[in-house]
Amino acid sequence: MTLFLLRRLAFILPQLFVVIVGTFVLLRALDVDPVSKIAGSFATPETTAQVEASLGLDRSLGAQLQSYLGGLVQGDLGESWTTNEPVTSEIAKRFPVTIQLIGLGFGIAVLLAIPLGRSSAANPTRRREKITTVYALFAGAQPDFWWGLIFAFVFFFKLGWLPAPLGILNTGVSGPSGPTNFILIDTLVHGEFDLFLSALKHFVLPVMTMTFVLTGPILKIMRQAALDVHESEYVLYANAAGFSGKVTKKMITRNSFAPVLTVIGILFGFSLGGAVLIETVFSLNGIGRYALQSTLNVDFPAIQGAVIVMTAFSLLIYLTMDTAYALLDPRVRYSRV
Amino acid sequence: MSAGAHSDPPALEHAPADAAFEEALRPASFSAHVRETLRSSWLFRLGLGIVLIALFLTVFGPYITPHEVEKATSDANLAPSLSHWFGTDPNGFDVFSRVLASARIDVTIALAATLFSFVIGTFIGLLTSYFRGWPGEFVMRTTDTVQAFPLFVLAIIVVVMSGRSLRNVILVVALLNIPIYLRLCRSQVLTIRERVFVEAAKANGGSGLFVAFRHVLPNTLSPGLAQIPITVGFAILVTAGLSFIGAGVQPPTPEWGAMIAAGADGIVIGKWWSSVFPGVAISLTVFGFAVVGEALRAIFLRQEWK
Repeated sequence: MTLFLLRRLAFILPQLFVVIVGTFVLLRALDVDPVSKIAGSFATPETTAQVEASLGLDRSLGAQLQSYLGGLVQGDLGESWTTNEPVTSEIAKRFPVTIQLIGLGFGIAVLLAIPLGRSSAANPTRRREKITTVYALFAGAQPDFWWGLIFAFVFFFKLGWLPAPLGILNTGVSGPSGPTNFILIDTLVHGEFDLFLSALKHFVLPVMTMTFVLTGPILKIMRQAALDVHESEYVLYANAAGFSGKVTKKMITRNSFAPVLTVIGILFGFSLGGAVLIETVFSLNGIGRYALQSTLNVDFPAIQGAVIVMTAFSLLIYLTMDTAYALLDPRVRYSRV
Repeated sequence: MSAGAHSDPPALEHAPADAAFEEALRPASFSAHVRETLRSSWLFRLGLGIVLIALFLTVFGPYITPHEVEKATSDANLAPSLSHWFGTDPNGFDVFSRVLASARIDVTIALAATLFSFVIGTFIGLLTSYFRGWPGEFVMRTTDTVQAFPLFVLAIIVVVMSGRSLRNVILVVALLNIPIYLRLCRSQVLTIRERVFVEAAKANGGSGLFVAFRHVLPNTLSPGLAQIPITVGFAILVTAGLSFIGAGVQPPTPEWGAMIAAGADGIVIGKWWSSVFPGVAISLTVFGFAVVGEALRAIFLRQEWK
């Protein structure tokens, strides 16, 4: 197992490195001029040169990359060109918002889709199969940002059950500071239950939106995987040999999980960036919107920081998925690189 | 779309061992299977109907609008009525006209991007998988690394910084989808290249490239072709998403995602129509393409699709 993990790490770290260098070079290769954006269009040549030097853009690409990587190994992502704050601390505030949104969205989607998919495969009546297929196809093909707006219209404007889509807490209310920046944890740590409930209510609609679109693909792959295992020869054998239903059920669960994990991993990686849409609808200050705003501001260090953190996190998720995969299926441990 | 691959089944004289596969290549039986699925499945009929309407609007949408599409009027935020079926948006645009005209932009971007990624992905997949050696390994590692990027954010960065033109949106959406076709093609080629009919073609003196394109390629296309409608749907979602956050097609060009954004502020004060109708258009269109893709996949695999 240790060897398996080491091999995977040896594969992931170079990928992260390529993404870091790739983003760095890509930003400087694209046809965009941060200097004139920051110095303003009426800047004199002297001011322009001054700004260029202060951003470090007057140096060669190699020298810029070298000093950036030097900072990075110490956990320093540089300073934002728009706010002059350290990117690391800005991201530390933004990233937990996205993680709470995606974490809850995925958690609930998995809890709903897996039993539904399994029971629809275990007991396939025509009607039930049809409903599952249509629902999975439909939910997987939806514009999440639009559903977010629809949910806000129904549950906030029409029914008034949930707060307006304007952030994580009521306007003008500020949350506790630290220690984790996860508002759902920090409010509990500080014993502020009213704030906790308020934040939870603000999360309901965005999480519901995310859950809705995620249940589609997860349900579909779960149903397919369970069906494949049901029809496999080893389940036929287990049944013929007279194993109890409980044993076969465990067998099916265990063996149908692998493709589900793969799909969840891929969806997670995409959602990390894709969450910007839901964050925009509900004015959540997550990392997706941070990346978007930084892009509009041509703020290179902030963009790089956001991309690196998202990549590192999704690679970590892939590693976790692979490990779970290997734990579930002993064959993987010895064969795959 | 698939007609090309099926009307001219090449190399059947070197009959593949797999009977099901051979049958899948025969034109009559393919269309018979489509007809059979059309007859038995209302879902497929529905999906195909939606796709045909979307394609019709892509071609004719901008010509059949009751109002001018890019002319702002002072009639802003009017509720749906007889003269404005879907109401008007905050700029005074007629929502119904713009929903019809948007298909031209969204579906064209999606089709062009999908075609582009299908051709490039299949081409690279074929060449690097048919011929053994380091290029295959290199391309797969590169694909893995590209997929490690937060792709939607990468799309935002590239489109915003290189200019929000139609061409750039198409290229970025295509780039996002190349890995799918590369993988699909590769997994097919790796098994097909070991088959007897490929060996026979080589023994007949066919050069490497000739065998790859004439004998291997036609037999690897089905999964990629079935994936096309699904990718078109996904590409519409990405295009609309990018435009929704202002990183894609720019107003006043009629585009569903940008239209939803224009009405987004109104929806929480009860003016729902300018966001709801373009969203319904996206929702139905993407669903239609997804259904057709699923049905096609089953048809290519010779499975029944209910």
